[in-house]
Amino acid sequence: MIPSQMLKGTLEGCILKVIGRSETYGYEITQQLRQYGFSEIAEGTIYPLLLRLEKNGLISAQYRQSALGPKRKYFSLTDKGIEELRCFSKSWMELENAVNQVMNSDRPSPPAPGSRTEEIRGGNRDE
Amino acid sequence: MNKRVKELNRLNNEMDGKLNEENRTAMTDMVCYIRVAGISENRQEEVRNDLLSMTLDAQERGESLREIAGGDLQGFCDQIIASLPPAGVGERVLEALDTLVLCTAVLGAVKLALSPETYYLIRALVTGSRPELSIVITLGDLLQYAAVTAAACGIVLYIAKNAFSLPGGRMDGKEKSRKKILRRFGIGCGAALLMALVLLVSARLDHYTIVSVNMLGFLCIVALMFAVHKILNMREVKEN
Repeated sequence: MIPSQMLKGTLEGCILKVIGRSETYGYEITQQLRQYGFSEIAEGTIYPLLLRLEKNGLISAQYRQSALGPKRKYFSLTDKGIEELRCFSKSWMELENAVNQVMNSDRPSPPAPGSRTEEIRGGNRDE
Repeated sequence: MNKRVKELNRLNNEMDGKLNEENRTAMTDMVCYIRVAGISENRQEEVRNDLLSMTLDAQERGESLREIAGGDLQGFCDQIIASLPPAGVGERVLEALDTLVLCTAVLGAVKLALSPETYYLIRALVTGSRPELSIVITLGDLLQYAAVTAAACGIVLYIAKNAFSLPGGRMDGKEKSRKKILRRFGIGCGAALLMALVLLVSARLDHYTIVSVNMLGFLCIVALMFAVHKILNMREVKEN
């Protein structure tokens, strides 16, 4: 299970990506995200995010009749949404790269000059 | 409520009728909670429409509203409210004005229907004697008007804000429930005492006449208040 704090910043970007592939609606987005590994995602988690994305002009909605049941709200990316998705992808690559480097490195990196870690180490050397 | 919102409200009521009992109870709690969250009526109905579509879809799949909300209905509502722009200051002022105007119209009509002056007027009309057409507004009337309006608004707000924890809604632990029941009992007793006090004081203040107005004039004011309420309801809301 992915902690909710970790999810918060990334889920909106993932929703933009799913909507960017093809026009889709809430439940279908939830199902797709589940298939990608967001196993704990409920439709109720997605809905407030969709509202926020719509409010910020990143996605637009259109009602369409469904085969069975009520009308469905289909979402598509706006120009602003396409730009936001591009920014998210770039930021995510950088973050992923940085986190991977931290996680995969065996030895600790040298502390920056003047940092507290270096001062403590210096103090220990004097003793 | 303007024409568009009224139409959406009618559609939503139709959709609401298709919900099963469990989902309808949950939906009622959610809608009550969202109604007093400071969101424009238009957005409230749009969100309600989304939630109803979502729930009816889920119902077809054999799922409940509680399941699609991730188990926590109040948390779900809080997230929805946080994602929506709050109603503007102008909109809130107009809504408050609308409530005030409607209360004035209803209480004015009640005053007119129940006042002794109306009884004397009818008696005079029946017996053919000269009718007295004035109605007296006392300090006690004003106190009652203020108390009834405040109590009505307070009760609606209290019920809506506690939609998920009032009987029939979600209850936490046994201990907590007992505390809640005692607290509510205290609030109820306090409110009843306050209303009794208001009635006693207003009976005393009934001797202080503020103004004596013509009954037809009073009726015109009541009608005007209803008309203002109708006009305020027809307005188109500018969304943020």
